[in-house]
Amino acid sequence: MKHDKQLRKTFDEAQVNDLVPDFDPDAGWEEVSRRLKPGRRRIALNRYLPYAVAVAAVLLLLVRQKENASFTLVAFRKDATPVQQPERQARPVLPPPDHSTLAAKPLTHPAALPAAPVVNPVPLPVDTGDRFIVVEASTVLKEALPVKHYADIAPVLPAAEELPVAGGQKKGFWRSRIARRRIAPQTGTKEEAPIRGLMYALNKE
Amino acid sequence: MKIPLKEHLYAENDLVKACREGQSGARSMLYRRYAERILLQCLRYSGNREDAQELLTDVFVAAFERLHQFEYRGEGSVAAWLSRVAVNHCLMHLRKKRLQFELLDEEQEQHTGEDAEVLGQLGAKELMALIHALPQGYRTVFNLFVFEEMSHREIAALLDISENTSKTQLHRARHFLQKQLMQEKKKVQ
Repeated sequence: MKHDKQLRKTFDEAQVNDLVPDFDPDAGWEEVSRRLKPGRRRIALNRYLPYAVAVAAVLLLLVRQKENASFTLVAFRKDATPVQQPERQARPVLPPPDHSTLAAKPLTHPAALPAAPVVNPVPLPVDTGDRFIVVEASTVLKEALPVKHYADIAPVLPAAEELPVAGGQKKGFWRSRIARRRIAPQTGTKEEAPIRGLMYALNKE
Repeated sequence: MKIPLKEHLYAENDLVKACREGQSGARSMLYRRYAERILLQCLRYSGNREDAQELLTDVFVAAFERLHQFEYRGEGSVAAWLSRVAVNHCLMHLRKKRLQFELLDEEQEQHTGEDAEVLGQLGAKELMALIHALPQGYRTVFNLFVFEEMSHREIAALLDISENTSKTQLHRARHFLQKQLMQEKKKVQ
């Protein structure tokens, strides 16, 4: 502790010229003042900004009070022409649908269609209530199916040998795949109902 | 009330007031009064002259920008406040340089009172040279303990190290200085 005191004394009494011989305080101060200049501007800004804002606000109020009319003129020019909006065209009124013609057309049950030779069997899903099974359908069936429906499901369906028969992950896999394509085996649309009936009949045979 | 700048100039408090009021020349006078002391302080911490001069500028710029935070607490408080600002800047500078508290492998030797006494009798120039030779960690703790008169607890909190690390660094610093001094003695003989 005693020696520490001595060390402090040594440095307190030390002359900067002994340690830094060519130290120039003028140059040092110039550097400091150069660095402080932006600070001076900021101080000036802080000092005068409230006054400047107050004066600007008063001026703005005066201008608004005196020249209110001119503001109105700017906003609503007399000679301004309104923009022409295109006229809306009236929608054509469609006649109500004629339900009588639908009733007059007799429905043909797919089972009543004439039988044709089986060529080029195509695997198609049949809803048996629980899960999909694959049957070989005839070209007649192919023709009987609505084209749109057939086109929708045909590319999704796996080949007969690829379809797993029982349980396990694969069944779920195929089921989910089919479900993803929005072909619900359990809940068919009204359009599909006769087709399911036909498939059921064929399967039974 | 404005203080006549050229007449007062000898009271710290008045000088600070004049600086706050933005009187021309007051800042320059404050700088000239304390620059040497702060430069030596920066030199002790940084270990080289270029860094010390940069630090000196930084310290005064920061001090003038935060002069409104200064509270006058009697004679010597301006110097103490500036010294504190300088220490903070020096430590910040050292942190940027990745200050490390390494422990050099040294033989454990008993301190001899004679060496410590000789250390106290050295001139500022020789002492500064010896301090510059210290590793950064030793030097920082040595400066804070010996020259800033901080306790190990304060040093530990400031440098984010344990108290024991601070103690060890100081002990090793003293030992290192004595060793250097012995070598110098041998050279002279």
